[in-house]
Amino acid sequence: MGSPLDALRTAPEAVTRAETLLTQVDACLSMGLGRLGAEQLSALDSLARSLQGTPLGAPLADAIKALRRSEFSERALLSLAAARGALQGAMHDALLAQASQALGRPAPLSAPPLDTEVQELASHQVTYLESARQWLVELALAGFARLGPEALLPFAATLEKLQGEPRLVRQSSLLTGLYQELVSSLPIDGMGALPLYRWADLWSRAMLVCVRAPLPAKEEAASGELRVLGTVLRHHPNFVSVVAYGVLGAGDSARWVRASLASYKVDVLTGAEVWRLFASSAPNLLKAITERASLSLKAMPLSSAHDFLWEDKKASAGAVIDSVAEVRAFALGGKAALRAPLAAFDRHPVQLAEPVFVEGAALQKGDGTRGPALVLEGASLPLLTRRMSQAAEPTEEQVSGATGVFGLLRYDAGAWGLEPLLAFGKGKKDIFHTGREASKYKSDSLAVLQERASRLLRAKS
Amino acid sequence: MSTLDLQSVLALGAPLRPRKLKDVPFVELHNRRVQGVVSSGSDINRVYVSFFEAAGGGAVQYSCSTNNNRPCGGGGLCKHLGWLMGEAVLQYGAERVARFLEATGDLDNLKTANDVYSRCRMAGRAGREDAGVVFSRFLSYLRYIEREQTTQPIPELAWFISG
Repeated sequence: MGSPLDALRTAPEAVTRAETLLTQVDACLSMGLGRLGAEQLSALDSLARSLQGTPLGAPLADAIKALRRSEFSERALLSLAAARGALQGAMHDALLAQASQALGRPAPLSAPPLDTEVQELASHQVTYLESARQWLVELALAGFARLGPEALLPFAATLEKLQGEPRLVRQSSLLTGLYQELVSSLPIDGMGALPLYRWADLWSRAMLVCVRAPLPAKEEAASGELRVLGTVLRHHPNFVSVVAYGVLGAGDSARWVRASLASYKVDVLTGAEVWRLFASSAPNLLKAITERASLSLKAMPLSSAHDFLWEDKKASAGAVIDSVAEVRAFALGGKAALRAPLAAFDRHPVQLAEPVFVEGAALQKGDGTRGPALVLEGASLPLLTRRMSQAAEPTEEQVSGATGVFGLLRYDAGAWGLEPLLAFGKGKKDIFHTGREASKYKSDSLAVLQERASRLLRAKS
Repeated sequence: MSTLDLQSVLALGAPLRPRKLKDVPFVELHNRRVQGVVSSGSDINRVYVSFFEAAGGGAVQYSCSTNNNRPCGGGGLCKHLGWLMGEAVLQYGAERVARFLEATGDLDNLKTANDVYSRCRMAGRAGREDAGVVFSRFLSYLRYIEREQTTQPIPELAWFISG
C-alpha cells in the first residue's frame, strides 16, 4: 500500500470539472457583465445546468435570462454570487471527504446548529450593506479588467461607516481588504496577470455576506484544558486575524478547536508588532500562542463549529505543554481530536484546514517551476510556505532541518498542500511556530500612533 | 491578459518596509499624490501637511502647509517635503514612488529619494489648498487604531495573508 499522501495527489474529478466551469464563469466578471460574448453566456448556461433542480436553479435561470436582456439587477448578480458560492460549497465537501478518507478519519459534513435568535440589524446598518452591494454590482458591471479609480475611490466613505459597526465586522473586514487590494492594483493595465479567481471569490463572498448578516453557530460554555498547537496569521493592510488551533479536553472527548483574535490596523503595523495589538486584551491566549502554555478554561463560550468567542479572563495559563507529544495524535491514520463541521454558509475550499502530523519526511527545495515539497515514501506534498504570512513560522528553512512537521492540509490552485504550524528537531529548543518570536519587535509604531489618535481624534468628539 | 488560475490565496504587492513614525507619522500613495503628515520639529502640537502630486507628462507639483492651509515657511522643496519623500521611499521603495508620480524614463533600479527627484520634473507649488483633504485622510488612518477589537471567528480573512 502506498503512502496516504498518494491519495491527495489529485483532486476528485468533480472538483476539477467545477473549477473549469468557474474559471469560464469568472471571465464574465473580468470583462464586465455589460459586455458578455457568446462564450461567456454559454458558460453561464453551463452554470445554470449544473444547479438545475436545486433551490438555486430557478433564480439562477431567471438571472441569466435577465443578463441576456442586459437587465443588471442586484438580484441577478446575487444569484450569480450564490451559484458560485454553492458550487464551491460542494467542492469543499468533496475535498473534505477525500482528505478525511486519506487521513483515516470521519468526515465532519453535517451542518452545525445555528443561533437563530439574533437581533435584527439597525436600519442604518441595513443601509450601509445596501450601499456596499451597490458598489459590488458596479464592479461586476465594469469588469475587473477595466477598473479605474472612479469606480473604486468613492466607496471609501461607505467603507469607513461600515468599519464603525462592530456588528458588521465580517462584512467590513472583507470589503476593506478587497477595496485596498483593488486600489493598490491600479492601474489594472499595468498589472500583468489578473488574480481573477481570487477576485471573483472575494466579490462573491462579499455579495453574500452583505445581503443579510450570516447567523452565528450556537454557543455553549466549555471548560477544561486547552492546548494550543499552532497559530495562523491572516492579514491585509488594515485588518489582522490571529487564529490559534488546539485541542480542548483529552481522550475520547478531545475536540479540535479554534480561538480567534482580530483587530483593525494600519498598514505600517506588520510582523511581530501585530502581537502588541492583543497584549492587554488577551494576555493568557498570547501566552499559549507564544510560549506554548497550557490554558485552563472555565465556562468559555464555544460554538457548535468549534470556534471560541474568547474571553481572556475565563482562561488561566499554566505549564508549558509537550507540543511534540500532542501533535503526534494527528499522524496519518491516528486518532485525531474531534473536528467540527463548518457552518454551511461558510463552506469553501479555502476554509479546509485538516490538522496532520508528518514525521521523517524529506524536504525537496523548490526550483523555478515549483515550490518546496515534503516527500514521504515516494509521495510528495507541497509545502505551502507561500500561503503564509511573512511573520509566520516555521519557514521552509526550519522545516528542512526538522524531524517532524505538524500543519494544516490546505487546498488551493487545484492542489493539496501542507501549511506548517509547528516543526521540531532533535534538540529541546528546536521547536518552531508562529509567535515564537513575538517579543522581538524593534519599533513602537502602535504607541506613536495611539498618542496621535488620542490627541487628534478624541479632541474632536 | 492572463489570469492566475484557481488561486484563491495570494500575497499581492510588495510588503511595506517598517520605519519609525515619529517624524512622519503618515505617508501614503493616493489619488496621484505622495501625501502625508510631518511632525513639526519645534511644536509637539503642530503638524505639516505635505504632498507631491503627479501633474502629467512627468511634471510633479508639491505643497507644504499647516492643516489650516498656512504655507510652511520653508519655501520651495522644504525640509518637511524632504522628510516626506524620504519616508515614502523607505516605506514603498523608490521605484514604486517614482512610478506613482508618473515619472518618465527608466524607472528600474531606483534606490533613493534623490533618484526619484532625478526622474521627476519639479514644477513648483501646487495651487490647490488641499491640506484639509490630506489631513482628513490622516484622521481616517488614525481611526484604524481606535476601532473595537473582536474575538468572533471571521472566516472571510482566510483569503488574506499579506499587508
